[in-house]
Amino acid sequence: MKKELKMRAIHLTVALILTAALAVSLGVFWERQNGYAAEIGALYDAAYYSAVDNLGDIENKLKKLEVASSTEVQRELLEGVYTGAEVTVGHLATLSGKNDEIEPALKFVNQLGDYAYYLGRKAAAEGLSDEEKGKLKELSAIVSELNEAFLSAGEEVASGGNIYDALGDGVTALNGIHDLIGANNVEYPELIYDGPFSDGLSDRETKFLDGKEAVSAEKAAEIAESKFGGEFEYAGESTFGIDTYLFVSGDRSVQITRTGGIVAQYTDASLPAGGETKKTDEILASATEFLRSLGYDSMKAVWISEQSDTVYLNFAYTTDDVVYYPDLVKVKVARDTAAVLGMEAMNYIYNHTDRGELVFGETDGFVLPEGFERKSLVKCLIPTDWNTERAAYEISGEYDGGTYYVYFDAATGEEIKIMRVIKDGNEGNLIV
Amino acid sequence: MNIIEKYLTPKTDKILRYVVAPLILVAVVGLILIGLNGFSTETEAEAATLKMGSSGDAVRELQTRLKNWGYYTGSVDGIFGSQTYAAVKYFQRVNGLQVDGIVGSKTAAAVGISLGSSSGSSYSSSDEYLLARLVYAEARGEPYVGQVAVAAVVLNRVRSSSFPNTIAGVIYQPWAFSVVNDGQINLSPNQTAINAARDAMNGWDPTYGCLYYYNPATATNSWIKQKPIHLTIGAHVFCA
Repeated sequence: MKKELKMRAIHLTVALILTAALAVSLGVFWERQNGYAAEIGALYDAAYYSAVDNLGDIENKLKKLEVASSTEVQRELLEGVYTGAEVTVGHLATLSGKNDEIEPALKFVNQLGDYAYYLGRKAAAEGLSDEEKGKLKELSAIVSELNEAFLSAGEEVASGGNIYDALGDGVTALNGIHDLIGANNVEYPELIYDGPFSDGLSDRETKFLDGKEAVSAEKAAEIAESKFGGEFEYAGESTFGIDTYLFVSGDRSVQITRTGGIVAQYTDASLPAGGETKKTDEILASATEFLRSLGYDSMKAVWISEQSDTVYLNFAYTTDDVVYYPDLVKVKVARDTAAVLGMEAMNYIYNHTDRGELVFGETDGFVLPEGFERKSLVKCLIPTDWNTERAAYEISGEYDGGTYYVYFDAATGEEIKIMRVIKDGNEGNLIV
Repeated sequence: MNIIEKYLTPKTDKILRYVVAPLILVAVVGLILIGLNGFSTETEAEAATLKMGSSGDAVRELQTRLKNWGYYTGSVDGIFGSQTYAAVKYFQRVNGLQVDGIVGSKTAAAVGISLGSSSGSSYSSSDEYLLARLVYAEARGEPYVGQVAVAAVVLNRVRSSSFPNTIAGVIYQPWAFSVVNDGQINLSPNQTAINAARDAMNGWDPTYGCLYYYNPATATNSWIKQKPIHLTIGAHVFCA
């Protein structure tokens, strides 16, 4: 009996200790959770206040632009709007998970930044037109309302509350953003709608397919099998951008355009075996022959990038000694066997067309820095940031230990673009 | 006498009451404490090795040394691919080590590199590696072209005005990808996912500009299901 009492006492003590440990642990757990919540809340608070701060700054710069007359000041202010918009987008993205109204705001600010970037480059050369100033005034008013909406949202938050939590159902101030941006229906110039961040990219024309006949899925499968060998199984269709049929055969897949039956993309997921590396000439010959077999003639390799076991090559359509950079096809080759592991021709299919004869002016008078060692001069057509094209002279050369590509307008001789080759420590090179 | 009476003698009863029951109680409470305080062991690294699919600074260091000694002729890119594998085997053969192409403690010591506890998942800040992590987490069971498509969607978002303008911004946008919330984004990508990310960054886009994808069998978001589907690859549908 005594022994049993003793055991019961031990039993009870163990239970008490465990209960105490559990209680302490729960306390630590809740404390830790509160700590995390406070830290995350502070990050969201920072995003909110920074977004509001930057919107105010953008609005201020847009207002200053209404009175700025010197091209230098205009450029400076527009660059400020662009960088401010970039920063604001990051903060709005952080907040966007909580409230659907923030997404149209993010899109508006992104496009505003894009427009400011375009105008900034234009302002430096020729200033702003009255129409552009009017557009900026219109945008300034929207930014002002947007800022007001976010400020009101902040005021709705009880003091000490968490802004991110409060941006959800509890806040009504943001409810009008969708309507604000929708109602004002900002119409940017055509050029911007074709820009890199614009909506225009979603319905790009596939110039290379113009006038070609539609092919059936059966016919496309025959094309896939005749070009790549083996049996390809129909795996669906793409109805966006470039309409294609998708076929799969083991590790390989191929996309064939529904118009024209052109091979638009090919991937082979086989991993290289890791044998001895083939020479660049063999890799180049393999890729060139591959493109020729698919009907991509007159293609010149313009860039090579060696990455791990594979080599990526960019080919551009070249005729009459003019390199058409928008008509780009990319090929991926295994370094050990020189077998082609991939090909994609999206840019070629979007852009390749008969452009008529391009006009190239005199080649003297290009201004290059002292010490720039010229290596080559090439006639080319280059894509612009706004999805347009520009005939240019490309001068490559060495300057201060670096390799540069400088582009001059073919007609006016104006310097329009500079690229620098970055040696990244590997065999591969990268152009930025 | 039934079977319980036969075996539940007073002695057995005491053992159950005073030994087994407290032990079970301690175990249960212990598990609760571990659960609450995050003493999880699941993140413990597997044995520290470098092998096919590993990546990061340790691999870079390995490649640099093997290259300096003439065993390796590929790129020093921090990714343990087939060329690195072949070079490791070459090194092991020449140096009398077990020839398995895996850099364990002995090979590492012979090469003169230090293996951290989680060398297989060494952190790399490059966009390509981050993208590969997303691809692996989101689409590791998908066909290769489907993995390239997932990576391409991220890059299309970077270019779109409706999303952030950086790869990290898009991937870590709150609630954009469930694998960020459940931690799968931190899994080490395999070579296939790395290749898929690399292809996408080099311009491959099987979706031709799509901005969304989801798995119709598991998606719960009714909003995204209203979007027209432009392409289906494996278990994922893609829309703009």
